[in-house]
Amino acid sequence: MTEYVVVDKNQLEADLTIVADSIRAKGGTTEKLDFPLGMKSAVESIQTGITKPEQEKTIEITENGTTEVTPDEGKVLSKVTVNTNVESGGGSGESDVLTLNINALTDLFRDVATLEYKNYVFYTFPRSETFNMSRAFAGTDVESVKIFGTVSRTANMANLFYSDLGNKIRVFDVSESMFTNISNPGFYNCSSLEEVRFPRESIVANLQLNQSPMLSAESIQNIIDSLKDLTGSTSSTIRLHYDVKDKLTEAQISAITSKNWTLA
Amino acid sequence: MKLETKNNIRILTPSEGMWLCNMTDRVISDKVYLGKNASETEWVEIDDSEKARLETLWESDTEPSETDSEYAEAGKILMGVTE
Repeated sequence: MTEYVVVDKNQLEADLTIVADSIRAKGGTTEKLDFPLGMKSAVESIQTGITKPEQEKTIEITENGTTEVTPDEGKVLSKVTVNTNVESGGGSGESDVLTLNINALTDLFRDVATLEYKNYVFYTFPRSETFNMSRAFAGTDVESVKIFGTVSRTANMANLFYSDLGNKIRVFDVSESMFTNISNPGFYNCSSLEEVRFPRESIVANLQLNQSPMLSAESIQNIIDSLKDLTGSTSSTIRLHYDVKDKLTEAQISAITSKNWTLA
Repeated sequence: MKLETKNNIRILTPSEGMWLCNMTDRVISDKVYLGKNASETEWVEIDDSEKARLETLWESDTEPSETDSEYAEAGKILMGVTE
Protein backbone atom coordinates (compact mmCIF):
# COMPACT_ATOMS: atom_id res chain seq x y z
CA MET A 1 0.00 0.00 0.00
CA THR A 2 1.42 3.39 -1.05
CA GLU A 3 2.09 5.88 1.70
CA TYR A 4 1.74 9.60 1.15
CA VAL A 5 3.60 12.39 2.91
CA VAL A 6 2.18 15.88 3.18
CA VAL A 7 4.78 18.58 2.58
CA ASP A 8 4.80 22.28 2.01
CA LYS A 9 5.03 22.57 -1.80
CA ASN A 10 6.75 25.94 -1.77
CA GLN A 11 9.28 24.83 0.80
CA LEU A 12 9.95 21.65 -1.16
CA GLU A 13 10.56 23.59 -4.35
CA ALA A 14 12.85 26.00 -2.52
CA ASP A 15 14.84 23.12 -1.04
CA LEU A 16 15.18 21.40 -4.39
CA THR A 17 16.36 24.65 -5.96
CA ILE A 18 19.09 24.93 -3.35
CA VAL A 19 20.28 21.44 -4.21
CA ALA A 20 20.03 22.07 -7.95
CA ASP A 21 21.93 25.34 -7.71
CA SER A 22 24.70 23.58 -5.83
CA ILE A 23 24.89 20.84 -8.45
CA ARG A 24 24.90 23.36 -11.29
CA ALA A 25 27.71 25.39 -9.68
CA LYS A 26 29.85 22.36 -9.15
CA GLY A 27 29.22 21.02 -12.58
CA GLY A 28 29.68 24.30 -14.36
CA THR A 29 26.28 24.24 -16.01
CA THR A 30 23.19 26.42 -16.04
CA GLU A 31 20.74 23.79 -17.30
CA LYS A 32 17.45 23.17 -15.60
CA LEU A 33 17.72 20.01 -13.55
CA ASP A 34 14.65 18.01 -12.93
CA PHE A 35 14.32 15.87 -9.84
CA PRO A 36 15.53 13.21 -9.46
CA LEU A 37 16.97 11.99 -12.76
CA GLY A 38 18.28 15.31 -14.00
CA MET A 39 20.05 15.93 -10.74
CA LYS A 40 21.38 12.42 -10.63
CA SER A 41 22.82 12.71 -14.09
CA ALA A 42 24.34 16.10 -13.33
CA VAL A 43 25.97 14.82 -10.15
CA GLU A 44 27.43 11.85 -11.96
CA SER A 45 28.86 14.17 -14.61
CA ILE A 46 30.82 16.23 -12.13
CA GLN A 47 34.52 15.45 -12.60
CA THR A 48 36.63 15.44 -9.48
CA GLY A 49 40.28 16.39 -9.49
CA ILE A 50 39.81 18.31 -12.73
CA THR A 51 43.05 19.89 -14.01
CA LYS A 52 42.85 23.15 -15.85
CA PRO A 53 44.82 23.35 -19.08
CA GLU A 54 48.43 24.35 -18.55
CA GLN A 55 49.91 27.47 -20.00
CA GLU A 56 53.47 28.74 -20.41
CA LYS A 57 54.20 32.42 -20.50
CA THR A 58 57.27 34.48 -21.43
CA ILE A 59 57.74 38.01 -20.16
CA GLU A 60 60.39 40.67 -20.69
CA ILE A 61 61.61 42.90 -17.88
CA THR A 62 62.84 46.26 -19.17
CA GLU A 63 62.89 48.31 -16.01
CA ASN A 64 62.94 47.98 -12.27
CA GLY A 65 59.60 47.38 -10.54
CA THR A 66 57.03 44.63 -9.95
CA THR A 67 55.68 42.52 -12.76
CA GLU A 68 52.64 40.26 -12.25
CA VAL A 69 52.26 37.14 -14.28
CA THR A 70 48.76 35.67 -14.36
CA PRO A 71 47.39 32.82 -16.43
CA ASP A 72 44.59 33.28 -18.93
CA GLU A 73 41.11 32.51 -17.63
CA GLY A 74 40.52 28.84 -17.07
CA LYS A 75 44.22 27.96 -17.27
CA VAL A 76 47.08 27.41 -14.88
CA LEU A 77 50.68 28.50 -15.25
CA SER A 78 53.09 25.64 -15.66
CA LYS A 79 56.17 27.66 -16.65
CA VAL A 80 57.20 31.31 -16.69
CA THR A 81 60.26 32.42 -18.68
CA VAL A 82 61.73 35.82 -17.77
CA ASN A 83 63.97 37.78 -20.15
CA THR A 84 65.74 40.70 -18.54
CA ASN A 85 66.64 43.65 -20.75
CA VAL A 86 67.10 46.52 -18.36
CA GLU A 87 69.00 49.36 -20.01
CA SER A 88 72.08 50.33 -18.04
CA GLY A 89 71.98 53.92 -16.85
CA GLY A 90 75.63 54.13 -15.91
CA GLY A 91 76.93 54.00 -12.42
CA SER A 92 79.99 52.66 -10.83
CA GLY A 93 79.28 48.96 -10.79
CA GLU A 94 81.58 46.48 -12.48
CA SER A 95 78.90 45.79 -15.07
CA ASP A 96 78.89 49.34 -16.36
CA VAL A 97 81.83 49.01 -18.67
CA LEU A 98 82.22 50.57 -22.06
CA THR A 99 84.75 48.76 -24.20
CA LEU A 100 86.22 50.60 -27.13
CA ASN A 101 88.63 49.61 -29.86
CA ILE A 102 90.35 52.85 -30.50
CA ASN A 103 93.65 54.12 -31.77
CA ALA A 104 94.17 57.21 -29.62
CA LEU A 105 92.43 58.88 -26.74
CA THR A 106 93.58 62.48 -26.93
CA ASP A 107 90.86 64.73 -25.49
CA LEU A 108 88.40 61.90 -25.99
CA PHE A 109 86.01 62.71 -23.17
CA ARG A 110 87.57 65.92 -22.05
CA ASP A 111 85.19 68.14 -20.05
CA VAL A 112 82.25 65.75 -20.33
CA ALA A 113 81.48 66.33 -16.66
CA THR A 114 79.04 63.43 -16.27
CA LEU A 115 79.95 60.34 -18.22
CA GLU A 116 77.29 57.75 -18.95
CA TYR A 117 79.78 55.02 -18.18
CA LYS A 118 82.21 55.36 -15.30
CA ASN A 119 84.45 52.41 -16.10
CA TYR A 120 86.40 51.98 -19.35
CA VAL A 121 88.35 49.18 -20.90
CA PHE A 122 90.35 50.00 -24.02
CA TYR A 123 91.67 47.55 -26.53
CA THR A 124 93.86 49.76 -28.59
CA PHE A 125 95.04 49.67 -32.18
CA PRO A 126 97.33 52.67 -32.44
CA ARG A 127 98.55 54.10 -35.68
CA SER A 128 101.93 55.06 -34.42
CA GLU A 129 104.70 54.19 -32.05
CA THR A 130 103.32 56.75 -29.59
CA PHE A 131 99.90 56.26 -28.11
CA ASN A 132 98.46 59.58 -27.17
CA MET A 133 95.96 59.77 -24.34
CA SER A 134 96.65 63.25 -23.06
CA ARG A 135 93.67 64.97 -21.45
CA ALA A 136 91.45 62.01 -22.40
CA PHE A 137 89.49 62.16 -19.17
CA ALA A 138 90.29 65.68 -18.01
CA GLY A 139 87.29 67.27 -16.32
CA THR A 140 85.23 64.04 -16.22
CA ASP A 141 83.87 61.83 -13.46
CA VAL A 142 85.45 58.62 -14.74
CA GLU A 143 86.15 56.03 -12.05
CA SER A 144 88.30 53.39 -13.68
CA VAL A 145 90.35 53.03 -16.83
CA LYS A 146 92.08 49.89 -18.04
CA ILE A 147 94.09 49.57 -21.22
CA PHE A 148 95.01 46.31 -22.88
CA GLY A 149 97.03 45.14 -25.78
CA THR A 150 98.62 48.23 -27.23
CA VAL A 151 101.25 47.95 -29.90
CA SER A 152 102.74 51.30 -28.98
CA ARG A 153 105.64 51.39 -26.65
CA THR A 154 105.46 55.09 -25.84
CA ALA A 155 102.49 56.62 -24.07
CA ASN A 156 101.66 60.28 -23.66
CA MET A 157 99.53 60.57 -20.52
CA ALA A 158 99.91 64.29 -19.84
CA ASN A 159 96.98 65.75 -17.91
CA LEU A 160 95.09 62.50 -18.37
CA PHE A 161 92.72 63.14 -15.47
CA TYR A 162 93.30 66.84 -15.00
CA SER A 163 90.56 68.56 -13.03
CA ASP A 164 90.56 71.83 -11.09
CA LEU A 165 87.86 70.52 -8.78
CA GLY A 166 89.27 67.06 -8.19
CA ASN A 167 88.18 63.88 -9.91
CA LYS A 168 86.83 60.44 -9.01
CA ILE A 169 89.31 58.14 -10.68
CA ARG A 170 89.93 55.13 -8.44
CA VAL A 171 91.59 52.61 -10.73
CA PHE A 172 94.09 53.15 -13.51
CA ASP A 173 95.53 49.95 -14.93
CA VAL A 174 97.80 49.76 -17.96
CA SER A 175 99.75 46.77 -16.71
CA GLU A 176 98.51 44.63 -19.61
CA SER A 177 99.61 47.16 -22.20
CA MET A 178 102.90 47.04 -24.10
CA PHE A 179 104.03 50.42 -22.86
CA THR A 180 107.70 50.62 -22.03
CA ASN A 181 108.12 54.35 -22.16
CA ILE A 182 105.73 56.41 -20.06
CA SER A 183 106.65 59.90 -18.99
CA ASN A 184 104.81 62.50 -16.97
CA PRO A 185 101.63 60.51 -16.39
CA GLY A 186 99.02 63.04 -15.29
CA PHE A 187 97.49 62.37 -11.89
CA TYR A 188 96.79 65.96 -10.94
CA ASN A 189 94.09 66.17 -8.26
CA CYS A 190 93.51 62.40 -8.25
CA SER A 191 92.64 62.30 -4.57
CA SER A 192 90.46 59.17 -4.92
CA LEU A 193 93.06 57.09 -6.69
CA GLU A 194 93.47 53.71 -5.00
CA GLU A 195 94.83 51.31 -7.59
CA VAL A 196 97.53 52.11 -10.09
CA ARG A 197 99.18 49.50 -12.28
CA PHE A 198 101.92 50.04 -14.83
CA PRO A 199 104.02 47.54 -16.74
CA ARG A 200 107.27 46.73 -15.04
CA GLU A 201 110.00 49.36 -15.56
CA SER A 202 107.87 51.39 -17.94
CA ILE A 203 107.99 54.82 -16.32
CA VAL A 204 110.94 56.83 -17.53
CA ALA A 205 110.40 60.33 -16.17
CA ASN A 206 108.60 62.33 -13.52
CA LEU A 207 105.84 60.46 -11.78
CA GLN A 208 103.65 62.72 -9.66
CA LEU A 209 101.23 61.05 -7.27
CA ASN A 210 101.53 63.60 -4.48
CA GLN A 211 97.80 64.29 -4.48
CA SER A 212 96.81 60.64 -4.08
CA PRO A 213 96.79 59.66 -0.41
CA MET A 214 94.72 56.49 -0.77
CA LEU A 215 97.01 54.30 -2.83
CA SER A 216 96.87 50.65 -1.83
CA ALA A 217 99.98 48.86 -0.61
CA GLU A 218 99.93 46.72 -3.76
CA SER A 219 99.81 49.81 -5.92
CA ILE A 220 102.71 51.39 -4.09
CA GLN A 221 104.84 48.34 -4.72
CA ASN A 222 103.72 48.19 -8.35
CA ILE A 223 104.73 51.83 -8.76
CA ILE A 224 108.17 51.14 -7.39
CA ASP A 225 108.53 48.16 -9.72
CA SER A 226 107.37 50.24 -12.67
CA LEU A 227 110.14 52.80 -12.35
CA LYS A 228 112.73 52.31 -15.03
CA ASP A 229 116.30 51.89 -13.83
CA LEU A 230 117.94 55.21 -14.67
CA THR A 231 121.41 54.23 -13.56
CA GLY A 232 123.84 55.99 -15.86
CA SER A 233 121.17 58.46 -16.98
CA THR A 234 119.84 61.67 -15.54
CA SER A 235 117.88 61.00 -12.39
CA SER A 236 114.16 61.70 -12.33
CA THR A 237 111.69 62.43 -9.54
CA ILE A 238 108.78 60.53 -8.10
CA ARG A 239 106.42 62.46 -5.86
CA LEU A 240 104.20 60.65 -3.41
CA HIS A 241 101.65 61.98 -0.98
CA TYR A 242 102.99 62.48 2.55
CA ASP A 243 100.74 59.71 3.90
CA VAL A 244 102.03 57.29 1.27
CA LYS A 245 105.63 58.31 1.73
CA ASP A 246 105.38 57.73 5.48
CA LYS A 247 104.28 54.14 4.85
CA LEU A 248 107.26 53.23 2.70
CA THR A 249 109.71 50.80 4.19
CA GLU A 250 113.40 51.43 4.10
CA ALA A 251 113.69 48.64 1.54
CA GLN A 252 111.18 50.38 -0.73
CA ILE A 253 112.93 53.72 -0.44
CA SER A 254 116.21 52.01 -1.21
CA ALA A 255 114.66 50.31 -4.25
CA ILE A 256 113.57 53.71 -5.55
CA THR A 257 116.83 55.55 -5.01
CA SER A 258 119.00 52.71 -6.22
CA LYS A 259 117.27 53.04 -9.62
CA ASN A 260 118.42 56.66 -9.60
CA TRP A 261 114.99 58.06 -8.82
CA THR A 262 114.67 60.86 -6.29
CA LEU A 263 111.74 60.46 -3.93
CA ALA A 264 110.15 63.76 -2.94
CA MET B 1 119.58 72.29 4.50
CA LYS B 2 121.03 69.05 5.78
CA LEU B 3 122.27 66.04 3.86
CA GLU B 4 122.71 62.77 5.69
CA THR B 5 123.20 59.18 4.64
CA LYS B 6 121.45 56.25 6.28
CA ASN B 7 121.93 52.73 4.99
CA ASN B 8 123.20 54.07 1.67
CA ILE B 9 120.17 56.29 1.25
CA ARG B 10 120.95 60.01 0.99
CA ILE B 11 118.33 62.13 2.73
CA LEU B 12 117.98 65.86 2.26
CA THR B 13 116.01 67.85 4.83
CA PRO B 14 115.39 71.60 4.93
CA SER B 15 115.99 73.93 7.80
CA GLU B 16 113.16 74.42 10.26
CA GLY B 17 110.19 76.18 8.67
CA MET B 18 111.59 75.86 5.17
CA TRP B 19 110.92 73.68 2.13
CA LEU B 20 113.05 71.99 -0.49
CA CYS B 21 112.48 73.06 -4.07
CA ASN B 22 113.67 71.69 -7.42
CA MET B 23 112.97 74.41 -9.97
CA THR B 24 113.74 72.21 -12.96
CA ASP B 25 111.28 69.48 -12.03
CA ARG B 26 108.89 71.92 -10.33
CA VAL B 27 108.82 69.93 -7.12
CA ILE B 28 108.46 71.18 -3.56
CA SER B 29 108.91 68.80 -0.65
CA ASP B 30 109.62 68.60 3.06
CA LYS B 31 112.06 65.72 2.71
CA VAL B 32 113.87 64.28 -0.27
CA TYR B 33 115.53 60.91 -0.76
CA LEU B 34 118.07 61.45 -3.50
CA GLY B 35 118.52 59.06 -6.40
CA LYS B 36 121.93 57.42 -6.32
CA ASN B 37 123.33 59.68 -9.04
CA ALA B 38 121.23 62.75 -8.24
CA SER B 39 122.88 65.88 -6.96
CA GLU B 40 121.71 67.71 -3.87
CA THR B 41 122.60 70.95 -5.68
CA GLU B 42 119.39 70.59 -7.70
CA TRP B 43 117.52 71.48 -4.52
CA VAL B 44 117.22 74.85 -2.83
CA GLU B 45 115.46 75.98 0.31
CA ILE B 46 112.39 78.20 0.05
CA ASP B 47 110.01 79.66 2.62
CA ASP B 48 106.22 79.43 2.86
CA SER B 49 105.48 82.50 0.79
CA GLU B 50 107.77 81.44 -2.03
CA LYS B 51 106.24 77.97 -1.87
CA ALA B 52 102.75 79.43 -2.28
CA ARG B 53 103.86 81.66 -5.14
CA LEU B 54 105.52 78.86 -7.04
CA GLU B 55 102.64 76.43 -6.52
CA THR B 56 100.20 78.96 -7.92
CA LEU B 57 102.46 79.70 -10.84
CA TRP B 58 103.06 76.06 -11.68
CA GLU B 59 99.41 75.17 -11.28
CA SER B 60 98.37 77.73 -13.86
CA ASP B 61 100.96 76.32 -16.22
CA THR B 62 99.70 72.79 -15.65
CA GLU B 63 96.16 73.47 -16.86
CA PRO B 64 95.63 71.86 -20.24
CA SER B 65 95.45 74.22 -23.16
CA GLU B 66 92.66 74.26 -25.70
CA THR B 67 93.09 71.89 -28.52
CA ASP B 68 91.47 71.01 -31.80
CA SER B 69 91.98 67.35 -31.21
CA GLU B 70 90.12 65.32 -33.76
CA TYR B 71 89.13 62.89 -31.05
CA ALA B 72 87.33 65.38 -28.81
CA GLU B 73 84.26 65.45 -31.03
CA ALA B 74 84.32 61.68 -31.38
CA GLY B 75 84.18 61.33 -27.63
CA LYS B 76 81.23 63.67 -27.33
CA ILE B 77 79.37 61.81 -30.04
CA LEU B 78 79.96 58.57 -28.14
CA MET B 79 78.55 60.13 -25.02
CA GLY B 80 75.57 61.69 -26.75
CA VAL B 81 76.70 65.16 -25.79
CA THR B 82 74.87 67.56 -28.08
CA GLU B 83 76.30 70.87 -26.96
